[in-house]
Amino acid sequence: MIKVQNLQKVFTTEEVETTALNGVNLEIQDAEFVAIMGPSGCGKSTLLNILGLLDAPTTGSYNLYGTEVAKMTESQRVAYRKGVIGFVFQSFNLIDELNVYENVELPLLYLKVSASERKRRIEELLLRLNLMHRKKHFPQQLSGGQQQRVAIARAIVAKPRLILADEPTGNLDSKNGEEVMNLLQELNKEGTTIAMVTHSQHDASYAHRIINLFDGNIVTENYSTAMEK
Amino acid sequence: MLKNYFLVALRNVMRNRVYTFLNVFGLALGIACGLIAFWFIRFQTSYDSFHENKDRIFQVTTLFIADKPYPNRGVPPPMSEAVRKEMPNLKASMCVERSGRLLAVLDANGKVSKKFQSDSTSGAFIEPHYFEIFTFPWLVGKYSSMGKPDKIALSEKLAKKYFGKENPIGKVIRLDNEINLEVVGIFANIAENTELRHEFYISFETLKSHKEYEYGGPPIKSWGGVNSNTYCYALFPQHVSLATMKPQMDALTKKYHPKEYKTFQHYFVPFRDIHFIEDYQNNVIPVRWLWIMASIGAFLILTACFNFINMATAQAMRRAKEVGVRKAIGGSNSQIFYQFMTETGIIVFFALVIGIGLGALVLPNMNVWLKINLWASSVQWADGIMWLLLVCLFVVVTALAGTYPALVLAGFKPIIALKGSVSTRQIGGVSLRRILIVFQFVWIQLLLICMLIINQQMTFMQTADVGYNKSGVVTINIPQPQKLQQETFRQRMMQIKGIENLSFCLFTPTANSMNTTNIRYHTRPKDEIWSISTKPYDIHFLDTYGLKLVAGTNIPKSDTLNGYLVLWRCEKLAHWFFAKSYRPCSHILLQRLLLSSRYSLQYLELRQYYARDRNALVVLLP
Repeated sequence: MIKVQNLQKVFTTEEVETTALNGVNLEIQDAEFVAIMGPSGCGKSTLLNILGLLDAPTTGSYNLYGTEVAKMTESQRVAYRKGVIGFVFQSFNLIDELNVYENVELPLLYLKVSASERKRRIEELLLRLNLMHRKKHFPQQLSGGQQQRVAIARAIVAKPRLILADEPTGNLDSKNGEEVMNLLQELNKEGTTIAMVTHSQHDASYAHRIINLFDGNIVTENYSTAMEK
Repeated sequence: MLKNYFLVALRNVMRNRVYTFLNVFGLALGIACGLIAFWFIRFQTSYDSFHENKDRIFQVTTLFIADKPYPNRGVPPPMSEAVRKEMPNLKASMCVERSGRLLAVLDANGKVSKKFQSDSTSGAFIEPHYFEIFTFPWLVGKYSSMGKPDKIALSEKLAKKYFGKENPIGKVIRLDNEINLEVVGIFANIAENTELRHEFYISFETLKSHKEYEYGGPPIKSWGGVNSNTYCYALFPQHVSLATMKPQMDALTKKYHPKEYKTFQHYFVPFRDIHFIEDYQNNVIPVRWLWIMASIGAFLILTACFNFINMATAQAMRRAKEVGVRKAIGGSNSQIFYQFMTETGIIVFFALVIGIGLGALVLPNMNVWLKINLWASSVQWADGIMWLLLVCLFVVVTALAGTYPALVLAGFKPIIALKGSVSTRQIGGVSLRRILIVFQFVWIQLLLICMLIINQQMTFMQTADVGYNKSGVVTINIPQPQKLQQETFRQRMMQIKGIENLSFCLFTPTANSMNTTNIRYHTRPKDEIWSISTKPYDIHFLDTYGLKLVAGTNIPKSDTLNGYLVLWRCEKLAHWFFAKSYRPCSHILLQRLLLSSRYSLQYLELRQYYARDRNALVVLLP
């Protein structure tokens, strides 16, 4: 379970202090699919970054699967998120110098998984995502949808418990977007917790719960009607 | 993981060709320059390192003490015999060098079949011990046969040149049209890095049995004079130090110079040091040059590293996003650090390979371009030290050039990097890069200025007016002819079309070689404690070289030594002749000097003075 209490994030530059998150309280259950919505600058991405251990909160507590992570140093956070959290970005963020196979392999390399195990897992995943024939292609040779599928493959290859997606369909047409959302839903059904930032009501409708942020605070939480059990 | 580092690095290198090209070539140029400096030092310090007994070889030198000490590499010709007699545990050999010998190959009937002038190939008169002291292995024959007169040994190269495929042993070579020498042996070709670059050796006994032969030095049994090309080498027994031998050498000096031992002394000097001691050599490389070269090389490599750091950190912005992604998907700081170090390593490796290639291409031309002989003519690929240096260079340059950019990149905060909003402050700030650039520019400009100055100096040396006409004058070495032969030779030569003038002289006007002599001004009771160098010429000398007299007229033709010319601005004579003003005036003409030298004691009248050289006197050949 993920439990965030009274989370605050203040960005300080030389002259201005900006409060991005102002006492957020949130619980996400295992295998839950949560969509985070809100206008630009409301703190969605900041929340996602803190949830993903890419950033630390200024104050407050963050309990991730039973461990308090709010006060961790950067290197501790890196060590902790390895294999536990997978990221899907709006702009895919594949590494241009690596081909599909190598991009998907990267998290496993950082986790020091054996070569044979890597091969088994990657090939299984590429088959499932219908990317096997693109194995040797480089990102720039793929369509947007394919790139995002590779990015998802990379996010889930290490079998993380939590996937954080930051507008995963933002750069895709509706058909490809649909495909990606179906994939995320599928993963969620297999037991992966998903937190997704989105502007799209349609995408949000895939989630169990929609959290609306405004000025660094959660203003409403709705359980999605379409997906309600 | 390592494979992945390499893959990414290689693909990055290929993708950013311009960046890679600039970086690789910047580093490669630095490395090539560093290698050229290294090869210079390596060649210089390897001089005579191949002799098995290299640390036990000493040269006997002379120290004349007059107004100041005058060290001389030469010794009186009987020195080796005296060393062997007084210090029986030492091996010693004379080595009388002089280039420009005439060698002629005789056929079976004793007629000259081929003539050679050994102007570029030098030779020496030696004793058999020479080959026990130095490691010059004989391929054919035994060096003990060099104990007899009229024997010659040739290098493999020279033997091939003179005799082709014929067996040279037993063949006869005529030296300077005077002495017939029997070829008794062939020794292995000599290395470039030796002070003793002799292509042939003649037995020293030859000089003893042909006393009339003019070898260039004092009489062979005389302790009275020193020729600066007459050397004596000695081999110390094992575990005997220079300090223990010094008293014995002092005793020898006293015994053989009973009256002059305070002003005419002899010392042992470690043979391998001779190469670096300015007192004994004309074109010596002082040890400080090695340090200068080493620091120039090191600084050039450092500059190339700084250049790399600048380019890599500037480039870091472009890689920020990649770093962010890698961190987000689980890459730790150290994993990212090593990835960028691997990239630097690959660039440095390419740079090293190209640098070595460039260096190896340039090296054979260094001596040619600079008209000097300070480098080996080719790369010694088997040199273990060089490979060790290259490995060290790889590690050090990679660490130096790569660490900082890799630390900067690995230190990016993942969210900032992902957003692509990395600022210049995060890549080390402008100030550090400014410092590096300033260092680079200052250092390179300093080197450029040095280069321009050196170039100007070289141009000056090559084009400066030396006071005579250098172009169109050809110098030919000939054996010293009799007076009558000389005149006949001159007449025959003058008949050749194109020859305008001809002069016999012992040395060219600005040659380094010289004879020195004591001197006495006619109003003074004793010789001066300093000596002066003399250069004998005949009366055609002024016309041949186009020398202009500042005052007076040329010395009249005569059969005896009857006058001399003194160089204008001759410092040592200035206070008598010029009253330090150096202004030519008629009253100095016809002043007399007493010269005591090989030209016997004689008062000469000062007739003229010319040119703007220093400390030399011109004497006409008798």
